[in-house]
This record gives sequence, structure tokens and C-alpha cells, in this order.
Amino acid sequence: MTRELKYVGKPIARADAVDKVTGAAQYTHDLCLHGMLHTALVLSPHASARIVSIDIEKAEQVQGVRAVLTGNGLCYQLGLYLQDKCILARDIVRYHGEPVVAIAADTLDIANAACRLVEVQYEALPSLLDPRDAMEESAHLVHPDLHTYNYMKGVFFPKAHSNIAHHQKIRKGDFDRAFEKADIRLTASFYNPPVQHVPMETHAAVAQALPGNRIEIWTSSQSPYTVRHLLSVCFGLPHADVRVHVPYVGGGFGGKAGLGLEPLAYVLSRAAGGRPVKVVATREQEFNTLPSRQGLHSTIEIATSNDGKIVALKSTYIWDAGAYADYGVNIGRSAAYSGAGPYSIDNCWIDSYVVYTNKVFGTAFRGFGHLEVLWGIERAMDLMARKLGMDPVEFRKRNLLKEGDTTITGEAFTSGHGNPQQCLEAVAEAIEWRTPSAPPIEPHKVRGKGIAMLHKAPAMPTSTSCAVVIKLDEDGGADVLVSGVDYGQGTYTVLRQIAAEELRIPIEKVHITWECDTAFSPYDWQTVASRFAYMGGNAIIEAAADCLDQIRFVAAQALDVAPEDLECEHGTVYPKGHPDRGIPYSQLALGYTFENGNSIGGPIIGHGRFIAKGLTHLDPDTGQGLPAQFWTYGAHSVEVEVDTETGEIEILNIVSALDAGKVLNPKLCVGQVVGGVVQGLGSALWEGFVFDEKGRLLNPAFVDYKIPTAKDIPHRTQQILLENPQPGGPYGARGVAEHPMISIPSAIGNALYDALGIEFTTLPLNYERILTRIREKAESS
Amino acid sequence: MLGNFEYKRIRSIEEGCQYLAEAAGDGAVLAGGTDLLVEIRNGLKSPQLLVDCKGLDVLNVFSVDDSRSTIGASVALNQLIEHRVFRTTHPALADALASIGTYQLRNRATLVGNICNASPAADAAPVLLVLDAVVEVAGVEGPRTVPVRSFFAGVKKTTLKPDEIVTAIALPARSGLRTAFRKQQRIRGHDLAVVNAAGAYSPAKKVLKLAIGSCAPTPVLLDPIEVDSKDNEAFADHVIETVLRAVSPISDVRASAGYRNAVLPILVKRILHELLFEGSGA
Repeated sequence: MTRELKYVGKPIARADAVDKVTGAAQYTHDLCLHGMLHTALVLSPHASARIVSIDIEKAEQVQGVRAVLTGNGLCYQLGLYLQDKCILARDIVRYHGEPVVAIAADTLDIANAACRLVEVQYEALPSLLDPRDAMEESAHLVHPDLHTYNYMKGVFFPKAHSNIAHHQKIRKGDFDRAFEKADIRLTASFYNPPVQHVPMETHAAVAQALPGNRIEIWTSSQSPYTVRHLLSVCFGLPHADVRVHVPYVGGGFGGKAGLGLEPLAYVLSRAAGGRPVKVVATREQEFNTLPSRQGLHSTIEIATSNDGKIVALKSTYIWDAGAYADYGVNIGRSAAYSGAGPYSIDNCWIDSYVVYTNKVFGTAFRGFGHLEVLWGIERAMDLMARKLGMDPVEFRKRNLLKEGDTTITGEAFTSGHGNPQQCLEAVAEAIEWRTPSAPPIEPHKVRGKGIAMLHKAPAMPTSTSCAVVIKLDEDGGADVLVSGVDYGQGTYTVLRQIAAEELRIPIEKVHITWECDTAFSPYDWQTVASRFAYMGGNAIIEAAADCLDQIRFVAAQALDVAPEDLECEHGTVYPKGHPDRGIPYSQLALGYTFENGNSIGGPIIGHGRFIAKGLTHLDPDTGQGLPAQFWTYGAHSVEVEVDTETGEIEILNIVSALDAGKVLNPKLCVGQVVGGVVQGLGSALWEGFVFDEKGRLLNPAFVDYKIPTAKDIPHRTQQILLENPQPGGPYGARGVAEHPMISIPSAIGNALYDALGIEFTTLPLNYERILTRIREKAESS
Repeated sequence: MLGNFEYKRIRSIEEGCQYLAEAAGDGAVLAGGTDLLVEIRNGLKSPQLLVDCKGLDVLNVFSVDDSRSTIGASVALNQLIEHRVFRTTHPALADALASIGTYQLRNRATLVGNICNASPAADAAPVLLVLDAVVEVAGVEGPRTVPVRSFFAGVKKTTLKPDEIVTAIALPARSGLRTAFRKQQRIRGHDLAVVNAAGAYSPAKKVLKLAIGSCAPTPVLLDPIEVDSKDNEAFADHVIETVLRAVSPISDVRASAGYRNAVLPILVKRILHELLFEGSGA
């Protein structure tokens, strides 16, 4: 008998909504501790230079300055996957905006004033701004000591004495032979610029060095336990001596994964005699000092048979890691094993290089390389369809992964993977794919339609795990302890739904506190990779079952019934079929007391765990293996209108279909899809760093780095959520958090071809780029 | 974040001019602050004295009618945009003001501030230029008026003297003018103009005035153009040629000179269509 779900799958309102709209929610930015110092930074004005000397004497004399640090005394190498980063630049600066000196003072004004008194002498070095140049044998080395760095062995392959921080290979079948023999071949190149995450709350951390080498940190982070682990490794401290708090977080989008400003805040506090130190990134620093999304140069070769079956695909991905590649290496890895799109390809060859340059460095970003890779792949699919004279939808259908196929890493595709074809058909139907766009009223405008597929799996270590603790309260309610972070994506609301469903209590009685604290909250790796609802959800199910076992065990003695003959509903445990003889959880939560005063049981605390199952490292030479806990597939279709006189593009409609497995909360899921689509529009149309020839970032603020606003939301958007269940997912759910933004640029690029007959290969598709190409086309015809 | 400066909330305009005179060029007038405070924070300006004029009731008034409109220095943009009579009397100006910043910013930003900031991209400037607006100025030596066309001296520079405060902007009688404003942005949301332009056409006199922003160190007012052509296309070509000769756009992070040169004729053409060819301009 299937029990009707009360909460899971229902449009439950966000648990954090009222705190956020009333301003009650407290963020790291809001935090103020007694005696707390404020930090200002001296940043490198060069993209690449040797630090000849740093004179901090005048700065140290300023009244109210408590600590002045340079990279000299800070001999630490930090990183999650590849330890290539220092806390402050040492000997050389590798990007314009890199912190060189940090000053903690009584006020921010004092710290800023002291920074202006620091004198740094630089000797400019040649700067590498294009990763393709950086791969040349003769290129200078951004990290001459790369061969000495620690990294995650067996997973990443930094190339000694080069600028290549990681080379991921995928080899399946015999590409050369299949390509040679194929009927039709195509080669195309594409480019994505680096972009910023632009969370509303910029990076911020408060740290206090405590007696006995202990550290206490408050930080705007996606990763409380990873911050703890990396700090404890870096400073050689027992894990328990590093305590990390994460209060409300104002957005992350991947940019707050791994380590951020925490180590700097800590060493400043240590230098300032243990006074708490706050470091807050200005908006400009968020752009030019803190990490961004990597740029990407792609070259894609596809070969098909005359009837449109892809027989071979080769991609070369050259990632512009910037000055540090600690996190970037994993993007180069994961985007490679996804690097041929959701297609069945027997002969595949991918080289994904993560390459150092002298630019602000890259890190995780919603989509983790997939928006970038699929910009090329999904544009190339349209180019190929045209070469074949096939409809782009038909061409994709012909090649999408189906049961019995294997992925490019050799994973068998099953019905449990979800249904990419259904996603494609749904968006094609909704946009009326077969019907050409209605002609616009104004003669200088044209319209077109485009379509693109997407896929992504969580990119995480094979041992990724998380835990949940549920404590029952005196009133029969439940406190759920987790250390995954809800930084806006809505996971805590979903976890409450699952907890209420599983514990059989009203959702109002389930509480999750918006503060993670490594001293109390159980372990979670990091809140990234669209895996929190999946892994945390499974752990909650196990923790709730543990609670119910304990409830039944005690109630069985109280009621003199075997535990297996008891059932739970409405916060009450009772003998099957006899709800009138039940005991409310409130009488069991701390232990059960008989009429004569004798007591049994004790406080009920359940715990649950989840660890990634069956994942393998990829073979270093072929990339074969199982990297994905699950895959999520989807598709977008769009209709655009272009003003051919100004290049202005208007999005008339975007339809998105995602196979969510099970929609745990339709309201939040639709919101997440709309948010992702709009963020994808940013990457498609406007966003991108602009550097001058010396490597200076020219648009490190919202004046000239435009992100979509409320006025830029398309006239129509439509969200189609499919539910082909995920085996092993909570209620059959799989992650959909990052996915909505992936392939939005591709679908728009494809629609622009339909509208204009122009092939765009470079992002962003801003008005100027569009008009330039329209004019070039007019001149050449 | 802002460093140190003296802050005076003035009780009369005369007092403000006196303070500014004493500051001898190191003073700045604070109205909405949406440009000034950002520039101080970014280190582009470091005035020793801020004269806050928002407390003066006399500056927070505006009057609009067909014969003459006056807009005080501390009147916020949204006060104007949301005023029905203002909107119907000066639709092009209302359009221009509504394209400045965000709604929240327009609650603080002022029309007078928009021109005193003297950005080449100031959205109000082209409209004020084609409307023959007059800047009312107070100084230690007494009040004077400056036509807007003589107000801008360069990028972020005006012809004001250090002790002077702009008290209001006056717009002369509409006398049947048709007006239009066009702005090319990079995004639909708030943005500075890549190019902006305004036109005013007097059907009675058959004279067209055009002004262009973001294409020269200051907003550019063209000499009045007589409209006598029967051939719309030839006339449009002639006007566009004149416009392109009058400007000197540069390439910057916002747009290339090429894009500005490509879009400017389109904006002008659309203004001509609205004012002359369709004959339905307000």
C-alpha cells in the first residue's frame, strides 16, 4: 500500500522567507564581535610581476593599525585538489588584483588609510593572458614550482614544468579510424569568457585565533567542513581545534565552495594578538580578487554517417584557469567526462587542459564547466544538422543516449538515468518547433527559434558523504542538524518536508537552524554539485527511521506490544489499527514515564548517513570509469527577436524541461529553474570579463559588468518538470539545482542562426557583437 | 569608506554659497548623492566640504505648466516621473529621467544633479538642450542664469564657479514642440547610455533641434535644422550626415566607436520618424 504523501512533492513555502524579508536573517556581513578589527588589502596593480620590496613601516605606525601582513611570513600552500595558492602573494604576483599586503585595524577607514602608505616595488614580468599561448613550450611559467605542489593523486595530473595544471583524457573506441571513414565531418571552435558569480553577499569571514592554537571562524561559505579540514591541514591543527560557523549566506553559486578569505582572517587575528578580524570583499574585489568562472576555448570535431548518426567526436578544451587552478582542475575533469553532450558516441577523444594564465583565477560556478562545454557542443550539433540537411531536433533524437547505450566513460545508460528524449520532445512541442516564428510587426526585426540539450552529474570525490542528526523535542517536534548550507537554493525547506513525511509529524514541528557549526552539526563534504537534496535527503530518511525505531522500541514496552506491531502517524505511535491507544511522541522524546514514576528510554536522537555509491576514479589514460552518482538531463527551447539595426535581442519565450526524477517541492523547483534560466541569460547575452592588453580587468563593477535585472526577464518562460524516478534518490529525486542555466547560451545561439543566418561562436551575444556580425554579413553579400 | 570631510546642512542658499566660497574649490554640493558619494568612495573626488542642500524647502519644489516649468535642485527624479502633469507636459524628459539608474536610485537622484555631474552620457542633457532649458544659479555675487548649452565644459566639468549652487532648471514654454528621446543601452535594466539622443520639432517654425549624448566630451547640441524637404529619406540622410560630423565617439569598455557610429544614425532616424514622418509625436 502506498501512503499518500503529505509534504513531499507539495508547494511548501520557504522556511527562511520571513527571516529574510524582515531583515531578521543575520549574515557574516552583519557580524560584529567585541574588539573586532577590520581589514583592507593592498592589491597587485600588475598581472605578472616580481615583488622587489615591500615597505610597511609607515603603515605600521598608523594609530589603530593592529596587524600588517605580507606573504613573506606566510609559508603556506593551500588548496582542495591542488595546493597551489598562498594566503598573500609571495615573491611574485600572478594576477592584477591579487592581495599583496593585508592590514587589520580598529576601523576600515584606518585600514584603508594605512594601505595607502604601503610602498611596494614591482618589476613587471611578461604576462600570459591567453591559455593557448600559455601551453606553448616557450611560455614563461606562472607556477615554476608546480612539480613540488601537493595534489589529489590518481585523480589529477599536473604537468611538471608547464602551465598545465591538469590534463583530463577521455578515450573511447577508435576516433581516428571512425573520423577518417565517416561520410560527413565538421570542425568548429568556440569561446566563453570568464564571468563572475555576483552573489548579493560578497565573500566575508570573521576569524579569531584562540589560546592553545584554536581557531574560530564565521564565514559566508558553502563548505563548513571543507573550510575546517583545509585550515586544520594547512596550519597543522587537530580538526576539533578549528570551529567553523556558517550563518545565513547571501548566495554562493559555487564561488563560496572550498576556501575563501578564512585563512587570511585567521592569520591576521593571530598577528593581532587574538582579536577577532573581519575580512569583507568589496564588490570590486569580488570581481578582481576573488575567483570567477574560468574562460574556455573549445575545438570540436564531429563526424557522422550520411543518415545522421554521430560516429566520432573529438573535443579539445583549453580552460583559462587564471593564476590558480586548485578548484579549476576539477572543472576540467568533470566537463571532460560530460564533454560530448548527452549523446551516444562510440568513438570519442577528449583532451581537457586546465591552463594557468595571469588573470583572476577560476573556481566552481553553477554548472561546473557544463554551460561552457555545451556552448560549443550544442552549437556544433546545430552546425552538423545543417550540414546534413536534417532538422536539429531530429538529428539530436537520432543520437541521444538510450537504454543499452554507454556514455563516453563506459557507463551503461539505463531507464534510471531519466529520459533526455522526453525533455527534448517536451520543449520542442511547447515552442511549436515545426511552426516558423510569426513575422514581427516592425520591418527591421526578425525572429527565430532554437533548441539545446543539457546534462550534468555531480562532480565530487568518490567518497563524498554526509550525515544528519535528528533530535526529538519535548513537544514531539524535531530538530534537524545538518552542515550542508542552504544559501538560497531552498534545500532546508525540502529537508523539512522529507523529515516531516518520514517522522509522521506536521511540518511546522520540524526545525532546521540557519547556522552550521562544525562543533555541533554532523559532517557534510560541501554544498555543491546539486547533491544536497539527494544525499541529505537520503540521510534524513535514514535518521528519521532511526528515530522511529527508538520510538517503537520504547513504546513497545509502554504498550506491551511487539515493536513491529506498532505504527506511527500524526506524531503518535500506536498498535496497528488502534490509533486510540497511541502515545504521542512528546511522551517519548525524553523517555517514557509509567504511572508509578518508573521511566524508560531516554532522549531520542536519530542519525542517518549517506556516502556516494559505486563511483570509481577515471582511468588516467582513457578516462573510463564511473564518475557520476546520477545524471540529470534537460533541454531548452527559445524564441528570440532581433532588432537588425541596433543588434538588440529580445527573448520572447524560453521553455525548459528537466527530468527531476521526483519534484520534491514544485514551487521551489520552478523558482530554481527560472532563476537558473535568467542566470544563464546573463552568460548568454551580457556577462564576460574584459581585460586590457596588460591584463587589467576593465569591468570589475556593475557599471560595466551587466547582469540581468527584473526588466530583462523574458516575456514568457515555461518550466516542464519530468518525473522518471532516480533509483536510490530520495523519493526518486535527482539534483536539478545547477542545470537550468546550462545550455541557455546554446539555445539562444541556435535561435540567432534561425533568425539571422549567422553562426555565433563567441560569448556573450551582446548587442554590439550581434550588430557587428549582421553588418559583416550585409557587406559580404 | 568615505574618508574625512566636513558636512554642512545649510539653512539658506546664501549660507551654502558662502561655505563653498570659503572652501575655494574643495567643496561639493550634495543633493541626491548618487554620483557624488560613489565618486568619493571610489577615490575619484575628495572634497573637504560637503554642502547638503536637501534641507532647503525652496529647492524641493517644482512647477509645471504650458508657459514655463521650474524644477528645484533637490527634487528627486521619481517625484517628476510620477507627476502626471509633468509627464504629459514634458514626455521626452520624463522618458529620459525614467531611464536613469534604478527605481531606488531615482528616489534619490535629481535632475539638477544629473547635469551638475556633467557626464557625457547624462540622460537628461540632450532633452534639456533641445528644450532650451536654462540653469538657475546662485553665488556669492548673486543669482544668474546659464543656458544649458553653455553649461557643460568637458567630461565631468561645468562652467559653474566654485561658490555657485544650481538652484533650479527652468524650461521655457512648449509652444507646440514635439519632442522625443532615444537611448541605446547594453541591457534592458539600468544602464548608462551607450548613445543617447533627443529631438524637438516645431511644426509652426518647421525647425528641428537635435542633441546627442555619449558621443563627445560633452553632450552635443546641433545647430537648428530647417525642415523643408519633401523627400523624407534624403532629409534623414542629410540630418544623419550632419549629426555624424558633429560628434567624435570613442571606444571604451561600454562600446566601440564603431558601434556608437552605427547606432547613432538609427536613433536619429527613429527620432525623425517619431517627430516628423509619422506626425504623431507629442
